[in-house]
This record gives sequence, C-alpha cells and structure tokens, in this order.
Amino acid sequence: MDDNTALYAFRKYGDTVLRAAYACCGNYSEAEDITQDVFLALHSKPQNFESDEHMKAWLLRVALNKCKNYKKSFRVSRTDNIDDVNENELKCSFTPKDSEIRENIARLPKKYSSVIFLYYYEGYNVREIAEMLGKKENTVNSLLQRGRKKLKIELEREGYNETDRVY
Amino acid sequence: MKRTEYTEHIEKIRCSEEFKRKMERQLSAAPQEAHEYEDVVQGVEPAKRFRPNRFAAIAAALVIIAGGVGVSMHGIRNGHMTDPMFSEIQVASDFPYAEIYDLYNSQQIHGTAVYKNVDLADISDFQTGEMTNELLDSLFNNFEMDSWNTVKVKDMADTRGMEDVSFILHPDGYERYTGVYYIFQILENNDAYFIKYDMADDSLSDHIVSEYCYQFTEGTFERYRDILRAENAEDTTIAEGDVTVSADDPQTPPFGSFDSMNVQQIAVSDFVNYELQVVEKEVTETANSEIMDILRSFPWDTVPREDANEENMSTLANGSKNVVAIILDTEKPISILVDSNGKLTTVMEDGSAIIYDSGTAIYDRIREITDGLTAVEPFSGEIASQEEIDSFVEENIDSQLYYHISSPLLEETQGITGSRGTKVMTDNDTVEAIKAKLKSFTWEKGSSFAPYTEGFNDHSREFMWANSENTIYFSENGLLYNSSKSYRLTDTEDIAEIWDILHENIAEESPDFRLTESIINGYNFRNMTGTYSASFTVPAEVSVSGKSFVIESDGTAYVDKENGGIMLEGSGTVSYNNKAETERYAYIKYPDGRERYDEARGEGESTAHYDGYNTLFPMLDYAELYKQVLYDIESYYASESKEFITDEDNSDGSHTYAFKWLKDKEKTTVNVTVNEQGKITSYIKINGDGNVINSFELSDDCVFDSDDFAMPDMYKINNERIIS
Repeated sequence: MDDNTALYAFRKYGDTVLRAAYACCGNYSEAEDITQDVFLALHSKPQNFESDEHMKAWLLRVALNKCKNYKKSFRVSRTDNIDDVNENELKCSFTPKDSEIRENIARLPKKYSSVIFLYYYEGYNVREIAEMLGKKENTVNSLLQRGRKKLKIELEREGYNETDRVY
Repeated sequence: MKRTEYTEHIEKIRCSEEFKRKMERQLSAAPQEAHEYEDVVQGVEPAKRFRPNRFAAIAAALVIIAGGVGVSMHGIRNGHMTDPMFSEIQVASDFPYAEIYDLYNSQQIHGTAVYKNVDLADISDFQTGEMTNELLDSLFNNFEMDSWNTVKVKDMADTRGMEDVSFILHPDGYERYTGVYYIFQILENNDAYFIKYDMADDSLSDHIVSEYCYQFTEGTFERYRDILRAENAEDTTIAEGDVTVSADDPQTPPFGSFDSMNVQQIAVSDFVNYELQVVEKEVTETANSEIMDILRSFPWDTVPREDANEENMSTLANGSKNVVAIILDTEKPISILVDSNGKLTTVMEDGSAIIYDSGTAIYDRIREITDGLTAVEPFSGEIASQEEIDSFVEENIDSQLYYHISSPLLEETQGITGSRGTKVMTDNDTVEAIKAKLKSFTWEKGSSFAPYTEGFNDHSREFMWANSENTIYFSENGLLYNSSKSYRLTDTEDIAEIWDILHENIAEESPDFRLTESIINGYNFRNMTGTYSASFTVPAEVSVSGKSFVIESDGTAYVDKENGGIMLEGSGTVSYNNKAETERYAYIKYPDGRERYDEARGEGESTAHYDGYNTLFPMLDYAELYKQVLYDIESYYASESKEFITDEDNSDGSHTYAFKWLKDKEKTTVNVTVNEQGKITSYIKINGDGNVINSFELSDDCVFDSDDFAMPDMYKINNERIIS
C-alpha cells in the first residue's frame, strides 16, 4: 500500500465511492462533494486497514453515512446533474434512458438507495450489507424489497444466488 | 427498470479528469485538520413566517405535519428493539461507571440533564432537570453494581410501550446533539441501555460509538424512578404528584368530553431522509375503539401543558419527525397530534391549540395501531358535483391573493429564513375570471390529507386565498384544497389556463414577486463552471467557527468555479481576530483547510489568493450572491418600515429593482439588476450613511464558460512565511 493511504485509496476506490454517493443522491455534483469529503476525512485521519477489502468497506460506509447527513449542511451549493457534466470528461455517453434512471435514483429515499447499490451493483449479500450498515438482516431484506418496488427494478432471474433472494 | 440498466448506468459514473486532478492535488498535500465550520451570515434578519392569522383546526394539524423539517433526533428510543434503523451493538464486559463518573467530576460534562420518558399513565409529569452530583451519586448507587448481567440486544424482550426513565449526559444539555454524549435508559422490566454517541464522527453508523446492554436486578427500575420522582417533586409545580390515571378514571380533555366522538380520519407522517411522507389510513372499528380508549385514559388534567403560540408551534413543527394526526368529529373539527418527540397537541375548532408533554409511549402505542391499518387512496376517483365545486369556489375565493413558492434555492436558505410568499389584491374582474374558470372544469374529489401525500406534494408554487375563516390553495400541479377538502383537475391541461390568469395578475401588481421569480429562475447560473470576473466590495465581516475575519477591500474578483479558486486583486486591509495586519503579508488558515495568503504591494494595495473548495463570501460566490438577495428581500418584509420596491426596465432588457427598509433605526437600500435570464449583473447594498456595505458587478466582457479567460495561477503557499 502507498505511504499516502488516502491517495492510494482514491486511486483505487475513487470511482467506487463516487458511484456509491451518486447511487444515493442521483446527483453528480453532490456525489463529487461527498467523495471529496470521504477522502479528505481519510487524509486528515488515517485509518489502519487490514486489507483493501476492509478499506473499501470503510470508504463505502463513510460515504453512505455522509450521504445521509449531506443535506443538513449549508455547504450544498451546486446541484448539477449528470446531464450537465461534460460527457467527454467522463468518456462515455448518456442516453435519454440514463436521464430517466438518474431521476428515479434521485427520487429514491437514501435508506433504500444505499442497500440497492450495495446489493445490485457492488454484489454484497444481505449479511454483508447488514454488517456494513449496522442493521439487522431482516431490516436490509425489507429495505431491499421496498427499495426495489420504489425503483421498479425487475430482477433478471439468471445469475442470482438463490440464497440471496429477497422475495 | 431492469437491473442491468441500473448497473450499466451506475457503471458510467466515474471521476472526471478534472475532479481526479483536484483530488490528487489535495491528497498529495500535507493533511489538514478536518473541521466542520458554520457559515454565519451577518446582518441578516430572519423573515417572519408567511401565514394567515388563524387556521381552522385541521389546517393547523396539517401545518404542523407539513411545516416540519427533518431534525435528527438521536437518543432515547422507547422500544428500539424493533427500530429498523437500530444499529451497532456492543456488549460490554463491564458497566462504564468509572468513565461516566470521571467525566462528570472532571467537568468535561458540565451541562447534564435528566430526561424522564415514561408511560402516560404514571409519571409523565416529570420535567427535564439539571443533574447534580448528589443525584448522580444516588442513581449510580442504585444500579446495584454487583448484580447485573450483560446481555445481547437480541436476547432482550421487545420493550415497546414500556415505561422507562432515562438521563442524558451531554456537555451542552440534552437539546444539542453535537460532539460526544451519553444516554442511559432503564426500562420497567429492568433492561437497560447505555449508549455513547459521537456526532462528529461520520464513519460510525448512527454515530454510535458503543452500546451496552444490561439486565438489572428486580426492583432497580422502581428505585431509580423513585429517586427521580423525589428529586422532581422538590421543584416541580405539578401538585398532583403521583397521579395514576386509568381508563376507569377519565379526565377532561380541553374540548370538554369524548362523548359521541370517534376517530374520523387518521394519518401518519414521517420524515424520511428529509422528505415528508404522509399516508392516510383507513379507520377500522377496532382501531377506533383502541385509540379512543388510549385518548380517554390520557391524564389530561395533570400533564404539564402550554398554550400554543407561534414560537412553540414553530418549535414543534420543526422538531416533529414522526406524527400521527387524528381527526375527531369532522363537523366540529378537533384534531389530536401525537409525535415521536413526546408531545401531544390538541387543536380545537377555533384553531387554538394546547401542547402537552405526553411522553413518547402514547405515540408508540397509537403508531403500532396505525401501522396495521390499510392506506387510503388520496383521490377516490369520484367526480365532484357542479354544485359542490360552485359552493367551494364561491365561499373561499376573494380578492386577497397570496403567492407561495418554494424552489431548490429557497430550500437551501430555509434553515435560516421562513417560507416565502407575496401578497397582492386582485380586482373584481380577475377574481370573477378565476372563479369562472375554476367552476368550468371537472374535479376529482380527494381527502383532506391528499395534498400532502406522495405524488401530490411535490409542487413548488401555489396560490392561496386566506381570510379569517378559511384558507384555500391552488397549486401548480392542479390541486384545489383547503383544510378539510381537496380536489384535483381531471385534465391537467386546464392547469395552465388558471395559472396564467393568476400569474399575470400578480406579476403586474407586485415587483417583489417579479424579483423573487427572477432570482429563483436565474439561480441555475450558479451551476456555471469556468471563470468570471467581477468588481466587488467585500463584506465587512465574516465569522468562521467563531473567528472573525474583517476585510475591507475594493477590487476585482476572479472566480474559478471548477477549481473552487478565487483570486482578489485590489486595495485595502485584512484583519484577523480584530488585529489588523498591516505588515507586508498576512496568512489565514481556515479550519477546513483552506488557505489564504495576502501580500501587500505598495501602499494599501494587496493581492489575496484563495485556494479551497468551499463557499466564501456572498459577493465572491455566485450562488451565495443569489441567496444574499433573498435574505435582503426577507429583511425587507420583516422590517418595521418598508419604503419602496420598484422595478425599472433597462434598455438591454434587464430590470433594476430597488428596495429600502428601516430596522432598528438603521436604513438599508439595495439595488439589484437582473437580466432577462435571471442572471444578476449588479448588486449594491448601502446603509443609512450612504456607505456601501456590499457591492458586486459583473465585468462587461464576462462570459461564463469562456475559454478565453485564463485564471491566474494560484499562489503556492510558502509554509515558511506563515504567520502563526
């Protein structure tokens, strides 16, 4: 690991944290601000991590906690959405469908969006999410169920571990 | 949406090259001590809330429901075993008696408070009180230190509805949840929780540092309660003392009696992630009977109470995170609100209200009942008859029109100022035209709670007519409603026809409306990236975390929004903590890591370099400038004397607004020019002596996002030159 843990962490998990924050708030600028806060927090208060996975879990947890508290802050000054971000900068293209998905994400209450992200995108199972967020497994299951309804996610059957099903 | 669509969309999100560069730069520098800081806006008076004089009973209930904002309430949780957000669990091997006691004696905890939170039928008359050394001794001595067992939370019984007594140890008293604090709670079955919070540490789930769970020996709860009761009896004004009330011994509610009363409507309201979610529930016979029994057995005569006024209602609205609103007897609308913060409010027919310190148990019990009830559809599909609409419109709409708005900009400033609106008198022809339009359309009937439910509460603008008897709203999403009825347009294309009449009329009459609308519409300019230059007079004083920075300077600001950089060039002096730095240079290190370096050049001339990622001062940050104008408008409304607000058309299509007000014998005048798109091009605030307080003017050739403008390089801080 690099001497500068925060820099190493950012290079390795910057996108991961940004995506987690974005998945929680549906707003690119807010997500950047939260990501910045997360890594600056690590920079000013270094942590001892047992492994990269441990580091990743810590970063995600801090990011999701920050998302929860973010709107309390008067520091919210920019609310650009992904449509306003230069696509060339991100080296990808956004379709009308992307805008629709972003709007759905932005509308989803944060308690659902965090578990949806960890489960569907990051691939953590319910037990791992419960551990990471300090919630009971039943709570995570119920948040996943309700969040999925709100986001109207249709699960594709293939590729799913039966034991992780949340019906 | 398919799962793959979701993941593919998320996959596209990645750090922009610009953001990566910025982060690499920040993370490569020496770490800064991280602190939150509080922006303090000087010279801004909060505006009075815009409200009609009286509300009908249900309207008041709904105002409480709708008016609240999410306030994070960490702390005592009755029955938190079933709390879905219940987080980290730590089972201690020993009770941290020494830690608490040492902290208390070392004065690190100096403003402790006792909080009693027990079932409504017993000692709900307890007040919050100061913790003394003697009391702390008594309490700890009664924990039976040698005879507890540590237990796992999951092994503890469901404690919902149980009596409990609790205390909070906190440096700033129980109302301020900042920094480290402790809560101890013991329940009537002798289960106990001791929780340590650290609100400054965001890495913790729910900010919980540690949580200890115990099973105390039988009788501990009673001893503990008796100590608090005895302590409380010495200074409480409640003469009744140990009044025990049961359903067999009913007391008198403020509206007389419960005879022939039933639960007519019931709704639950929760703030979830700062969003209000109201759901009306279907009242079953069983639910009615159970809830009426709970209300009848409430010790109405003995519980501490206060008459509602603007201040305590506002506190209630702001603190009420979860509320159950019960409407009794719809003919003489009387409502009862119970909230999760332990308050019960009765709102009478005439709109007056009484707030009781009920404790949270009554909320928990009623909420448990409502959670089992089916949700009611906000709109039933039934079409209102022509007669009904005619009568509703005729009785409620008159010439006194208000306009209510909210927007992202207003929401950002909501924490400091009240809600906003503007008032205008409309002529008879306009009133009749509005009435005729409203009556000519088809309306679907809804419940009184419908406008506050998900899917219908997301409008940001509405018109309102308010008189002493009633208040009626027409919102931009086509809802027409008052405190007891609601309707929605079946054809949403009709909305524009009514909206246009109202909008034109109010815009014609009211320059403050036009200015507010311009500011809100133009607020999107804050999203501009790139650079701009502006001449400015910076504010006289800015406070950051209690430290005062005084800057007196005139000059040009170069703002690089993308990099969060601002460079000032001009003449003047900079003072730090009241000490003027007239030396060759001055360095200011902000608590959040921003740095500033000033270098004097010649007599009185200076260049200041800023490097940071947060907002600075209103004149130097475009988003803050927009907020500043709104604060000024609020100050204008809240002032003792409003002298004028005028709107002048300029040849380039922009408008210059001027307004002047008197507050505490101090006159203030503001002129602000806004172009057709809502971009603020100039701003000046002048005091009664004619001195400029703030000013801002965009340079003529300013182009946002211009490639031609190059931000001067940021000055690299030379640590050796730091003034300590």
